[in-house]
Amino acid sequence: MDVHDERLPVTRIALRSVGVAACAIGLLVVVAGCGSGGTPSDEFLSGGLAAEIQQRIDTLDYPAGQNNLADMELANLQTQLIHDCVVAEGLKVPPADLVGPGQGGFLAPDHSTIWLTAGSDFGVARQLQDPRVVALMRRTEQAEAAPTKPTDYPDNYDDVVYGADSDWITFQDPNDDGSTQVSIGGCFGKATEEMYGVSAETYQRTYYEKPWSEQVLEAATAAKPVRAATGHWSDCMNDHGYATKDPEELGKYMSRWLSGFLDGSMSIDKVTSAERELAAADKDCKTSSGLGTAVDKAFITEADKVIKGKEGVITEYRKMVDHALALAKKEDLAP
Amino acid sequence: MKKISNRIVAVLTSLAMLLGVSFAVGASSASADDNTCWSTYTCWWANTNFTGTYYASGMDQSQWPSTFQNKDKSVWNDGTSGQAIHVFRYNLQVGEVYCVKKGSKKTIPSDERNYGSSHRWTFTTSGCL
Repeated sequence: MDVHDERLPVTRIALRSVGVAACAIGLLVVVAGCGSGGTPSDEFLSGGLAAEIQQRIDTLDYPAGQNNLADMELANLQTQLIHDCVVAEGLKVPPADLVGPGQGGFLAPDHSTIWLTAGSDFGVARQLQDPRVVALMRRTEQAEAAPTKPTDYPDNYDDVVYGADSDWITFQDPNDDGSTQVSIGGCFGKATEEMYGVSAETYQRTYYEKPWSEQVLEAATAAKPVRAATGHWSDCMNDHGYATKDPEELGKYMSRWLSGFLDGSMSIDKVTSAERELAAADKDCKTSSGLGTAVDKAFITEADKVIKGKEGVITEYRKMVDHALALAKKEDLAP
Repeated sequence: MKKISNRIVAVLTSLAMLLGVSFAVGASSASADDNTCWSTYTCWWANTNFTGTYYASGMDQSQWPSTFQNKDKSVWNDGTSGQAIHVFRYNLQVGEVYCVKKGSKKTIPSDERNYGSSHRWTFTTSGCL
């Protein structure tokens, strides 16, 4: 199994680990905390909430929650279809830029893992034991040359891929001032239609209307009781010697460990030890502040609300993705 | 039409360079708009409308040039693979802030902009908005 395969379903692995750990610990968990306020609760360690969360993530992020490599298959299918279309338009281009399973996954935990779980580590030191991961990290440290116009793609490549300016449609984020533009024309639009079996516009509108676990998490962490618990968690973490506003900021420590490992100032053992200390503090504070349980419950509540409210669009999107996955299976693309 | 604007942009860019518009180090360039983001690259701009100082990258990078760190306000993933670009608030791809699917142009929302410090291309695209 490729190392990146292990890292891909970080949410699933982490949630499962929490469940197993919690079962082992059971009622022995002592809700002591740091005395930083909040309503202590260790319910989030029981495994029950983790299972409920995973079920909702599977629904919201289908097919990624259930098939680690589905995103890769879809990415490669899109690449191949665009490539074939561009060639059919008479352009000379390099072979389709397909990707392999090693090009997925991350070293540090994702948003869901960092907010919704608490374990004995974050999986960082474990991955540093794989020389392939370290080699990949070192590659990304190399400075990149100034951008140059690719000589193997013709000047009109982007025009053929994305079509005319009028082929772009814009999706305004309803909750903030962000927006995304995407083409429904050119080879990009044709590939979208072939993949998903509907018009490119229908697919894109469905994609942007459908709720995703990231949005649910955002709403959950913004809920009043969760924000209050986050404040207590932050106080507790400060008491432990970690100046962090919210769980997202735990990343700064992980980034430091990785830097230290790469420059030789931190051994894997040191990273392991630092990671365990941070994880223990996080778990303790998520328990004493009540954050762990509060955010898990808020996630489930919010997820149920959007899944119920957008049931139709979730089902439609699933059909489109199944169409694309069936096509990908037929094509069996690999780099 | 696009070709003409490409040329205009190229001329303007050259002029800007001659006039001493500051360059970010590394894989960065001077002011430009989205017509100068070449295929195979993802480009980030310091303005929300795909203009201004920009940073372009066709690789994974563990640390953005200091002159462009925390300045990302708009982005176009113009890569040739189906991979999304994932942007992180900390070096070495830790703490994801947002991701952008292949072909998408994104005006980064206020609560996510100006955090970019490292990035990575991966096929993980679910939920990239």
